[in-house]
Amino acid sequence: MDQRSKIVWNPFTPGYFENPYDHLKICREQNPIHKVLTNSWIFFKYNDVNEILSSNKFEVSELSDFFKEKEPYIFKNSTACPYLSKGTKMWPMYLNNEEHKQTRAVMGKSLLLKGLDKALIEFADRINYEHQGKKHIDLVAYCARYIYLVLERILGVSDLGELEQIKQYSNWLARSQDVYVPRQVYQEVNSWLLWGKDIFVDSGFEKNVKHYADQSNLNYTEDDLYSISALTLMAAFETSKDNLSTALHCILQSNELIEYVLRCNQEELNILIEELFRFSSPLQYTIRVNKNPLEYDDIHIPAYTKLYLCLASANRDDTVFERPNDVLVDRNPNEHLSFGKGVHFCLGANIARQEMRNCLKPMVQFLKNYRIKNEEEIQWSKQIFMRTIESVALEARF
Amino acid sequence: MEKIDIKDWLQNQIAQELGTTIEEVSCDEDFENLKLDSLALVSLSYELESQANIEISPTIFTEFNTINKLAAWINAQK
Repeated sequence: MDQRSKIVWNPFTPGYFENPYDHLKICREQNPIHKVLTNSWIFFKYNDVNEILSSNKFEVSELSDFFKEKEPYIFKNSTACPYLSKGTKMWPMYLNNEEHKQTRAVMGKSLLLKGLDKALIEFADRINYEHQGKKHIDLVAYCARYIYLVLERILGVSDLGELEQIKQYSNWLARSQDVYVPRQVYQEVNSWLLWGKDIFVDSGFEKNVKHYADQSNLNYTEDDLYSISALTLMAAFETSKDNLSTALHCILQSNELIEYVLRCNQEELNILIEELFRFSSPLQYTIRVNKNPLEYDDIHIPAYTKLYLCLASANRDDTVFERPNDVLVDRNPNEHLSFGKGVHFCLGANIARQEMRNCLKPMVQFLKNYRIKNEEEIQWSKQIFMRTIESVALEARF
Repeated sequence: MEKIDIKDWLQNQIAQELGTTIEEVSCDEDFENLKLDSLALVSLSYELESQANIEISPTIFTEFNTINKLAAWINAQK
């Protein structure tokens, strides 16, 4: 008789989007690896996720190829110009081997990072100035505005356009990577990809990408350049906004945390920031493919099977992290997997750290004069791969 | 607003997806055997949500694995 637990991962379990961690804990403890979707497997334990991410026996699945295969179906009876495959072709987290290394190297060199620390301090001050005296603030909009300014700076764009449109653009692109995505949503992603094609023309970042690509004899087409820019915007905006808003939401719930942020020194702040990355886990899942057949206990997984790795669950695994559901300000070491691990370690991890190190104190100093209006009314987006708060209403204490 | 027969609607949509006739889509056949891939099933659930006017999770086709079972569940929700 099969003694295996019947608990199956289901992100549509009531309450999952508000708090995925209870369901993930049950999965991790009762059925830490099991089959999901069509012939895919999901892993929940820290040690399993960590091992797969660190090993060269696994590679990433190719999103652009998936779209290439599915575009005839997605755009059946549609007059839209299919652009999903082209638009995602150069996204490095879905590239393997040389192509991945080259794209990543070009992207890393092309971001405009000189003098970023100073700019980040100015941006935080500017955001606080813009919100000064307001009785009501949406925490997510406040965070999005800061990340938007960072984005303009690192991409070398003088005006990215309406923040609300950029926010939507970034979010639709992020949804392209989610699971359980219907073709109607892919069509919407496609239209946003087409909409954004002019955003980066003449941007410092795109010029740099072209320059460094030429230097390495990489013949990037206009579509390739746009694909890289679109991905950079989405990756830099979406996860940073989600991380910052979730972190501030968490801090504002606790007077102890507010006081700690304001009094701690830089080293203590850096340790707390790592803990906030672990706690927030803005990217909740990632995917790998096994190059060889895989044996796990009595389970046989054929080669080239899609493996979903639950980073959010790994980061709350109590066999690795003491009191995983609490923010421990002095958790050190903190080997969280929020930025992934191995060759696909998040390219923007250091920028995300810089953002937090420069903005957290001035933002908490400003926001301590506000309280969360109604915890019950906070809306979490119905996304699975990236955890996003839609809005958090704050009201002034003054 | 015209009331839609969910069973007919499902049969019709699945026949269209498979490029076959309604008669060839059995209402007691497991969705897994109908050779619809996961993208098609998720897209169908998205469409079904607006047709049935109730919240439907994309995992619905696993929970209620035939047209008859799914239609019965949806009708019971109304």
